[in-house]
Amino acid sequence: MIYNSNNYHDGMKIECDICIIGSGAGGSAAASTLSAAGLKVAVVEYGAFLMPKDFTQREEQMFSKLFFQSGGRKTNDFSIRVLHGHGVGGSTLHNINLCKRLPDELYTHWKLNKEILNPLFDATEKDLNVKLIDEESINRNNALFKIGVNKLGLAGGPLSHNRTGCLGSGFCELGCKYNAKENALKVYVPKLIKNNGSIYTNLKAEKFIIKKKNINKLICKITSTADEVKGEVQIRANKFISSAGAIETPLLLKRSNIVDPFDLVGSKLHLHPGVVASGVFKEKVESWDGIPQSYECTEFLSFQNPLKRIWLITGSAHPIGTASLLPGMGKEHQLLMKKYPYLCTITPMLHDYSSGSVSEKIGGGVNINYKLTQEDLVQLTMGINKSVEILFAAGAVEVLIPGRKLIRVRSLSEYKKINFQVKQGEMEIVSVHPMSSVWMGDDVKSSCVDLRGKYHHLDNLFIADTSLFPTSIGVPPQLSAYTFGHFVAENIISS
Amino acid sequence: MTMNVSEQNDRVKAIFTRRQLVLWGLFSAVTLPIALRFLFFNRKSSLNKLNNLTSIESNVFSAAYRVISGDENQENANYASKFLNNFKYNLTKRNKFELKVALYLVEFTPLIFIGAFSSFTHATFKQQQAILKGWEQGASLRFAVFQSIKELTFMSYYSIDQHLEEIGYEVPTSIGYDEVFYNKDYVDLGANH
Repeated sequence: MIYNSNNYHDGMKIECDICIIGSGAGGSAAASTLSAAGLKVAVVEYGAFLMPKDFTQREEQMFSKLFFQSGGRKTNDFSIRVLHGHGVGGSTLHNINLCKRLPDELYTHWKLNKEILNPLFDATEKDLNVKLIDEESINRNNALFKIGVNKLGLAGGPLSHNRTGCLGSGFCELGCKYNAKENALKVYVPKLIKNNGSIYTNLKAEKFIIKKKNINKLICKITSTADEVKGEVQIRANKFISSAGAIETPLLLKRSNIVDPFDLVGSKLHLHPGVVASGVFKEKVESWDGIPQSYECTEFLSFQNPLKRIWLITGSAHPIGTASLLPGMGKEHQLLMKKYPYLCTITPMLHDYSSGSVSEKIGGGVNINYKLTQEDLVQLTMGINKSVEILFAAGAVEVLIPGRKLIRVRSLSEYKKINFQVKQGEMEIVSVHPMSSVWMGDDVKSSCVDLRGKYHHLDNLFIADTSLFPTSIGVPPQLSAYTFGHFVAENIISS
Repeated sequence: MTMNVSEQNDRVKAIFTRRQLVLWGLFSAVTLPIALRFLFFNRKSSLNKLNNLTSIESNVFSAAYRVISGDENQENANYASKFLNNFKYNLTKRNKFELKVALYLVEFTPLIFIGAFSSFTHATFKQQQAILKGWEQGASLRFAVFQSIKELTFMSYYSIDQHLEEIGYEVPTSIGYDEVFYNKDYVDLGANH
């Protein structure tokens, strides 16, 4: 059963075999596997339980229901927006359903056994009905991107998504009203409930109470809105799994004053920062319509070459997102927004070597420190350069690069003359993939979690979310997050 | 190690130019009373006070809405402050507080941007444009204040269907299918949903 704040009372105690914090990709997959093995599983979720009918397709209504801080969370210098979700299903409620496996090159680097993980990836893909997007389903935005990529002879192709019966409404990032996402909410949550597991929504995991090398219990605050605390609930379990995401997991560990002799927790955050360039076309593109992000360009992404760390994909935003991104105000801004239906947008996403840190602000709130290195800024600049080339090759009559100042160019030669460079703080940079803040490794001194997902310094704490990644992953992380959830759960069962 | 007075003065000069001192003085004169007011306010206030915009905050946001969105319809501007009041309800306590500070800062700092002893809400439309331009063009913190108000403005602006239609965006609607169909598998999962 899925419970909400109306079902709790102050001082309530819950007992279970396994307590999982977070119901997103990692948490739901782990919960499903563990409950199927006959264990009594309780999942704690900060957000609410939303059904398809609750996804109203309105940005102004959905931001607060789907994102931490209503989508307004930023790094300390305000230069990077860090989006991550809450609600039963976590970030899989709002993600665009991109499915890519862990790149082969990273297995060695991460010291993981492909023979063990591959069958889990196979099973996850089957569970989520992962399929290549067919040619007819590529919308105008992606079709133009494809034209540009092909004209320039770059490597690219359609992407695989986890969606079934998609109507192409284009509101994926606001949750699917038509239940087409094969996500945590649709696939793994029902399995958990069927196996007598429980989800406790509107609970903020406040801190672990630790005795010697074991977590004794988890203290949670009952919250019906963002900050209205109605009391406390205690959860006792034999084992705890934190799957609260790469921002919230290290915060929970830090609030709990967890044993961290080398001061590593929260210290190696990667973000996959992304920027945008938009082409203005003569004919309507209506990028918001149809399946978003169905085509990719992989020409500038290599896991063996540090000078090729850019993955190109289309971007699409609904009006509020677009209007907030475009600089200026008043009538001038209104004129700019008239171009909105004619925009095709490309997002260069960086496989980042830069890393940052996460900690809690005094009095609540989150400190995210993250500074892009010069090498990474050069990569992002290269990403914008290539995006501009692709857009003009596809027939754009003008290209816009939004930032503190709007760059507008009408030809590639004009663009080359301005010698554009990405600078942190001068462009809106967005991260939708925070990761690697409580990473795994075999060395106790240089990693937080062992290669089975267990926290090095406690006997009954496991991590199962993107925090685990030892480096940036360079591709959309959802499929790996689900798979690592299964992986950690299987390790718990086998132990 | 000891320093004589002249050395100390030189050191202070190296850190603060006269212009920086004047600016810091002005900045402190404006922000300190506001900060104190908020400290006092915060200590005494209940969550209800944080949840609701004061009339000054409402007026600042309505005025900023008109300038940023370019929508001079006063009815929409009034609606914007009501929208913000509702939207704010779901923010964290800290974010609510920061939003209130941002609105007060905009209200009480026109001196810095237009050199006039006027509040933002009592400035002319052109002056308000200049003030917000000043916030937009400032360093990271100032820009962040502007950007937050701008994002909230567009949330309100595009919650009005007419504004979506004006940019050629289809107003989100249900496709008319039986909504039960998409929800039937979830109804039994939730207690008291």
